[in-house]
Amino acid sequence: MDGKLKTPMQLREIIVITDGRSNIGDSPAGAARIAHRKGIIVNTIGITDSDGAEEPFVELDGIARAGGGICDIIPLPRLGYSVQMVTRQSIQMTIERAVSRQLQKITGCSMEDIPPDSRARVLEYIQRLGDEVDLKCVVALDCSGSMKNKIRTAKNSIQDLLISLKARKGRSYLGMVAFPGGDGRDSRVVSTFTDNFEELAVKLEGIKAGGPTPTYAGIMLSSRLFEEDNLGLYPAEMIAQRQIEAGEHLPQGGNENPFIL
Amino acid sequence: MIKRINIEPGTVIRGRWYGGEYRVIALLGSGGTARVYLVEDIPGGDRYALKLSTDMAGIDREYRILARLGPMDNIPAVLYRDDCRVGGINCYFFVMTYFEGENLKRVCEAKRMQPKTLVKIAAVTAGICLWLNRRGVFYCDIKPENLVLDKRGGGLCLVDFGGAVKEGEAVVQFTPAFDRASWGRGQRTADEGYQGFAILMMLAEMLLGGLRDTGMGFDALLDTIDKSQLSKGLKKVIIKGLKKDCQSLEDLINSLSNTADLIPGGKQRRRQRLDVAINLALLASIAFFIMVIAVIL
Repeated sequence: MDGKLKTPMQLREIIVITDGRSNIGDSPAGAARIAHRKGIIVNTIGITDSDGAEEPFVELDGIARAGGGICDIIPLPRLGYSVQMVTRQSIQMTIERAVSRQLQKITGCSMEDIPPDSRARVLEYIQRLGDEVDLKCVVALDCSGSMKNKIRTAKNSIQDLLISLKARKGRSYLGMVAFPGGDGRDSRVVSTFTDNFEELAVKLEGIKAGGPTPTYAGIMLSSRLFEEDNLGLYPAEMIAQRQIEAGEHLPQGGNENPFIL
Repeated sequence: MIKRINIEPGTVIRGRWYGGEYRVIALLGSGGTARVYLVEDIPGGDRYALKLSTDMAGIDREYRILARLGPMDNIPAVLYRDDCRVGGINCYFFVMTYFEGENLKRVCEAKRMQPKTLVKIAAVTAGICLWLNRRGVFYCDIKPENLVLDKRGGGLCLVDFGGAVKEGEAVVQFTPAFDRASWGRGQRTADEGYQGFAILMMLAEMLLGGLRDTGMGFDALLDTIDKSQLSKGLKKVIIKGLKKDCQSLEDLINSLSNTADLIPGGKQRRRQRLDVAINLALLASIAFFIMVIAVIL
């Protein structure tokens, strides 16, 4: 966390999509904090059955806070829109924070303390960066029993997110984790990072809903997807998939984040 | 964040930097990250629309785009921007012209519009977009809700520039029904083909209604249009346009104008006054845009 912006820059985001509280495993906010320390932003989207009922979603707000991300609570029909907005705004916010911190260091004042007319040029720069930066994003999808009738919409939203991300100037890769993972596993990698729409669509087909809501495990596995990727010696996607599926212990340390905030 | 912001009518919004003061009269609309209020300035009492958001970059972007375009009849002109605090939360806002009137979605819901009028509206929308494109601004969130029939000027106004981008950039704000990517018909990037698709979808939706569910799939959509009561020529223009991936707005304007001429419009015994007024206003706009295009070319 030394506030340096290194190039080539790559943003790392996790988006947790769920319709309820975690009911098995450790505190999900703890997992988000661990991920955030590694330079990953954790965002949350909560699906409500009725508009405005935010009570069960205090936990999601806590996860987003601990993960340095955004929390959005929405009814199911707005999921597609929300997934895109949260991703886009999270990218923007992450860069904004980094630039703002630099600004604070250099000039002693934050973006808030600059009149809008002078701020414009910095914001323009931030916006351009937001479109040009490379992005790796993992969607962690709640596949518990209560999600049964929401899975279809969720799948469509995830595919649609990739369409939107591919329109950016920077490269974008989407990964996907399901929690629980089916067959008694608390989580599973559905797809490692890919920018191939068809490939993702095929893998999404295999998702089925059922079981409890192990949000902690979902976030932990999502952040591990990035770690594996950091090794960079082999096609990272393949190693991650193989090792995670085999449940092997993952090597720790020695991985430097290409993008440190 | 924006959900936590609640401004009651009568509240005064005070700019932090440039001293502007605006009294809130009513909430005009709210979107994903922003709210638009009808306000009057203090002490003048003139009415404006004020867009407020917690998204600093978003407000700055939209203000910048509108400020660069400058005043023009069919788009809002911006006159002030500043920061403010609402309920302990930092907010950002700008003030723009208020178009008194209804958006096309409400107009269509309230009364049956003549096909001829709707086709002309689509042509004018394409004209406004083309004019904006030539100035480097690609307006992409084209839908009936974002087009306002101005009561005073009688013209068609494009509002909400939050989704305007440069050519070739990713479209960030869209509505699935009018978004070609949601129908599986191309990328979600700003170009004339994207806009053409949205305009034709908007036209089809205004003419027929019930086309907003992209779940039906593109083929079923075309089928619905093909089996509708619309005139053959009009169907052909819409279906051909939707099918063809890339289409220039100029071609679209031409084919829409030609189709509009062929649709009988004067046969109804009692033509409604609004239709006549709109037709006159649109004719003037079309003439203006053809002139503008001719000058540019």
